[in-house]
Amino acid sequence: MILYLGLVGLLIVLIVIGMPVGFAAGLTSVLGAGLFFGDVFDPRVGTMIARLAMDKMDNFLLLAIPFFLLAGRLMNSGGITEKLFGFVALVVRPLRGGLGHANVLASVLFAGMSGSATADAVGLGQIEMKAMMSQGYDRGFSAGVTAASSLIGPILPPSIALVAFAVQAEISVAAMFFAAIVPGLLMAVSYMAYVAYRARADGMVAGPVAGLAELWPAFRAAILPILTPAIIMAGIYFGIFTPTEAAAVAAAYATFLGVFVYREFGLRHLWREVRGTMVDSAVIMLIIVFTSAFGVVMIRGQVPMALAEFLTGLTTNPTILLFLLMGFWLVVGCFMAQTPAILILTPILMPIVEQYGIDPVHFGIIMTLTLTLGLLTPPVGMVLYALVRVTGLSFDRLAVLCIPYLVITTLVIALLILFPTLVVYLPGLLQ
Amino acid sequence: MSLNDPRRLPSGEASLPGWLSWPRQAIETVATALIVVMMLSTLAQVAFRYVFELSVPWTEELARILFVMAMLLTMGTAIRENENIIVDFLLRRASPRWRCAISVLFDAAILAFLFIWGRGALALISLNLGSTLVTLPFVSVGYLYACELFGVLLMALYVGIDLVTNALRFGGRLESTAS
Repeated sequence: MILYLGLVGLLIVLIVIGMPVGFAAGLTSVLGAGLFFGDVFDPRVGTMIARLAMDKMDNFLLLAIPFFLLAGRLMNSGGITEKLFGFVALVVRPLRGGLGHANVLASVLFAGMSGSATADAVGLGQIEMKAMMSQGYDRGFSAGVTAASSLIGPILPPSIALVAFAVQAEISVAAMFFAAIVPGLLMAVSYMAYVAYRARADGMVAGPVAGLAELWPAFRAAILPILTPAIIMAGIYFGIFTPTEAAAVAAAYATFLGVFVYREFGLRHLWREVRGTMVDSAVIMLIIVFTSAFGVVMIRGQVPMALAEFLTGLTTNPTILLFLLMGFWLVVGCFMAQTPAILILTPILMPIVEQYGIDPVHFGIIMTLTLTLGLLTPPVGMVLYALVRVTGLSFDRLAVLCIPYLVITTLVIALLILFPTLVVYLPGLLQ
Repeated sequence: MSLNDPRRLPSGEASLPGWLSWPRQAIETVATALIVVMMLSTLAQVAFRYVFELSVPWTEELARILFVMAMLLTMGTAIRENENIIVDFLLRRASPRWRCAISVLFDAAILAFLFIWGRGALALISLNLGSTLVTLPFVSVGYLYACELFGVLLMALYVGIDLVTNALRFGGRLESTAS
C-alpha cells in the first residue's frame, strides 16, 4: 500500500516539475505494474500496457472528442462568432450594461458549438472586448465579464470535459450533457445578475430597443449556428443519434456552414483544421489511456479503498464529502488544467462515489464545474493567459478582476451540492 | 522536453533530418485522411439507419479502428510539435540550461517507458495475428497492434531527437532557443 501511495506522490511530483501529463501517468503505471509483477522489465508489464492502451482507445464514445473539437474549431474560424455577438448585442441593448449581458449570452450560445473556455476567450473574447471598449465600457469590467463568461464553454453541452468524465467513469455521455444544462444556465444567470448590479452601481445607461429592421438581418445571420446545440441535444433526446453520432453531425454541419453557407473557408483550410483537431485529440487520448492505466494500478493497490476508509473516518455524509472534495478540487484546479485533472482523478475517486451512494452524474458535474474555476486562477489559469493579449491587462490584474465571478461560481456550486435535483432532474427525463 | 513552451522551437521541427520530412508528411496525411473517413463512416451509420432503414454493423467498428490508428500515428506528431499538456509554472522559472537538463532526464525516462510499451505491442502482434475483427473479418487484430508498435516507434524517434537536441544545448554545442 505504502508503495502505491508513493506512486501517487511520484505522479504528482513528475507533473509539477513539468513532465507531460500523459507520459507521467504512463511511467507511474509501468512502475505500478512492475510492483505486482515483481519486475518493471517483466514482459507482462509491456503487454498489459499495450493491451490497456488499445482497449481504452477502442471505444466509440471517444470519437465524440475529435468531432466536437472539429466542430468548435470550424465554428470559430467561420466568422460565426461575430454574427452571434451582433445578434445578442441587439437583443439585450435595452438593458443597462447591455454589452455585459450580451457577453454572457453570446458565451452561452457559443458553448453549444465549441465547448472550450479558451476558444471562447480568444475567439469571442476579442470581439466582445472590441465592442465594449468602443462603447466606452470600463476595461476592467469588460475583461472580468469576458473571462468569467468563458467558463460557461466547458460546462454547457457539448463539452470535451464532460465526455472525458463520462468515459473515465463509464457512465452515459447523454446524461452528463443533460445534467450540465441547468448548472450552465445558473452560472449565466448569476453572472448577468452581477452585471446588472454593476451596471446600476456604475450608472451605466440602457440603449434603445432594436427595431425589427435591425433585428431581422442579425437574426438571419446568426440562426443557423445557433441551431447547432439544438440539433445535438434534440437528436440525442429523441434517440435519433448517439452522442458520438451527434458530434459527427455537428462537425459536418459546421463544415457545411463554413464552406457552403458563409463561404468563409475552403477545403485547404478545412484540411488544416482536421489536422489540428487530430493533434489535439491525440494529446487528450494519450492522457486518457495512461490515466486509465494508472487507475487500474491504483485499484490493484487498493488505494481508492484506503482513501474511502480515510474519508469515512472524516464524514459519512455525502454532502459534506462533496464540500470537502470541492475544496480539494479548487486547489488542484489552481495547478492543473481541467480535462487532465478530470482524467487523473476520476478513476481514483469513482469507487468512493459508489461507496457514499452519490449519483455519479451529480458528482461529475460538481467535479467538472469546480475544476473549471482553475481556468481563472493563478498560476496556470489558461483563460487568464489567453486574455492577457486580448484585453491588454496584466495577468495579475486579470486574476483580481475575476474574484467576484469566482465567488459567484463557488456559490452556484454550493447550491448544486445542496440541491442535487438541479443536476439530476433533466438526465432523469432521458430514462 | 518542455512541451507547450512558446519560448522554444518545436524540437523535432528544428532538428528533423531532411530525409525524414516526406515520410513525416506522408504519415500525417494518412492520419488526417483516416479521421475524414472515420467521420464519413459515422455519418454513414446515421444515414443507413434513417434514410435506408438498414442496420449496418461494420460502420461503427470501422470508425473505431480508424480512430485508434489515427491517434497512434498522431501521438508522435504531438510530441514533435510540443503539443503535449504540461504543468510548466515551475519549469518556466528554471534557467534555459536547467530546462535542457530536466528535459534530457524526462526524455530518457519517456524512452524507457516507450521501450516497455513497444515490447508489449510487439508481443501482442504475434499473439493476435490469428484473431480478426467481428464485422470486418479480413482485418486481423494483430494489424492494430502493429500500428500501435509503429506509433510507439514514431514517438520514440521524436523523443530521441529531442533528447539529443537538449543534450547538445546543455553541453553548449547548440544554441539554446529558450530565453
